[in-house]
Amino acid sequence: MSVAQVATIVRTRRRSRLSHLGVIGWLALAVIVVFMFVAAFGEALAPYDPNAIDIAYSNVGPIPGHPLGFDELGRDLLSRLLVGARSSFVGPLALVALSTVAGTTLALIAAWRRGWTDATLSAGFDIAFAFPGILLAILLATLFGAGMAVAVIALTLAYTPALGRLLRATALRETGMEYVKAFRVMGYSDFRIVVRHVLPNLMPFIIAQAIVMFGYATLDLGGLSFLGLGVQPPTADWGVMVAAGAPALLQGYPMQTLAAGTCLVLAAVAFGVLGDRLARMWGVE
Amino acid sequence: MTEPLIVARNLRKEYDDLVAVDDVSFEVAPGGSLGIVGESGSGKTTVAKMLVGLERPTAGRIEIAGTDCSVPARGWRERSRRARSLQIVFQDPYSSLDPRQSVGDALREVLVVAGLGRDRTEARARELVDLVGMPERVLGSRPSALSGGQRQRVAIARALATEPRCVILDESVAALDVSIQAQILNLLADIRERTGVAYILVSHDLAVVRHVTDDVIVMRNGAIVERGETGTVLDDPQHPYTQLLRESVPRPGWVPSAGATR
Repeated sequence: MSVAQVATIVRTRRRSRLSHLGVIGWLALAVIVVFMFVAAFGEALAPYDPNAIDIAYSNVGPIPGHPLGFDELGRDLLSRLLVGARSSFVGPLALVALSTVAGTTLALIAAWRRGWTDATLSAGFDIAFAFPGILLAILLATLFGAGMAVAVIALTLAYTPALGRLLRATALRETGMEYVKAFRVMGYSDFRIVVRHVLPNLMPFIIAQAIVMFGYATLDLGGLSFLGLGVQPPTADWGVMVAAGAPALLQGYPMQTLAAGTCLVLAAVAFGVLGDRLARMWGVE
Repeated sequence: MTEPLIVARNLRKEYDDLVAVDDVSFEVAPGGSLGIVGESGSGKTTVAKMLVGLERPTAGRIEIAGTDCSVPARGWRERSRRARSLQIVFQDPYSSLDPRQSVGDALREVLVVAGLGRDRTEARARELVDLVGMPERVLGSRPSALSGGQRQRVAIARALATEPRCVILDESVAALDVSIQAQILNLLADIRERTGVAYILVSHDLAVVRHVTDDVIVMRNGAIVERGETGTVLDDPQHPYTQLLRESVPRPGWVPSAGATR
């Protein structure tokens, strides 16, 4: 069997149905759908004002009407968790969108131009990839002040080369296909070939990668908020909540940290699993 | 003697230290048919790639329909002019079509890029599938729903869409079953008769070359070792390499070791 025939089999497999996600894949998808719903309508779903402080209820455990109890300032924990979903996902969404667009563009340019353009971009990917995103974020935060925008920009700089490297290799294979050569002989413009033919054929790979990346983004941005470099209190955010609940851990009240931490981990795992399953289903691992 | 359609003069291609093509010259007349024969690595595919502008010759000159085409085209006008004079059908029918594009869309896109009005593309697309002996319903099919032979017919239809004056067939039937090969070869001969298109057939398969071409050049290690009328060259090869190629073709009473040793 020739390489091309193998590629064809992989291609036909891409079209397989969603049923091939498997139980775990569907579970992950369900978790993500629930989280996205909460992120969209969290404020309407929240039973109480997430910012209403009542020191009398500081770190009080679950009571009737307040199934998760209260945080250190006596705010309703469930309400803060529901409202916090949005800020916990908006950052990752921006981060994934920015780095996917940037990474895809650079990878396509490298794969299409080849030669020194490719060599330069690949070297750039490798150098940028060597900087840990979190450290870069800390550096930028000290220079420009802490905040979500700075955290997203710092992590975009770290995520873009990661996707760029992966996608470049796949794009090189795709641009080497004979249909691309045939289109060149047909006189198609570079733009037409890349944007209307190569890019759509790479979409399954890009989508799967973006979903996996979303999981990492949730954790990394949550981590930066935990460190105080991302979302700033009093805005409800899962990373901030994990940090805010930390002192109470020592007093034997783990509820806030546990609840917010569970949500973060669940989201990260769900995105990772779904991305992985989609990649396998489309044959683009 | 009419003006030749394609002229290649002293073509040379080097990759770093390797000389892939060395001093290759030939001509193809309008409506003519030239075979380029040789084993893998003889440089025959590199010649094809230089002709269609996928590779830039290190030295030498390519003229197609009287214009110099030695360097890759600049600008869409030049590209589209060349696209209308020379096309290519590749070896692998599985990767030469965009898997996401239906047959109809693939043909329509070529026609639209070539500047045919949208109102005329539909009729021309139907004409083309008919020309390659396929039913009109394949216009709606994705390549994954087609067999290798059907895909190759689509690739041929696509190459013929802009009515090029010459089509390069780069091992275009090598990946197909023998019975399908015969169908495609007959189809090619038939199309040539009907449209007057010229062929350059790049192949290692002497039977295929004999079936399709009038003239042949035999290449080895990047250089031409023998040339002439296809029948003459294949029946009475002068160069030892051509004789060897001929000896290597399995036939009744053939002993594998006889052709393998030099």
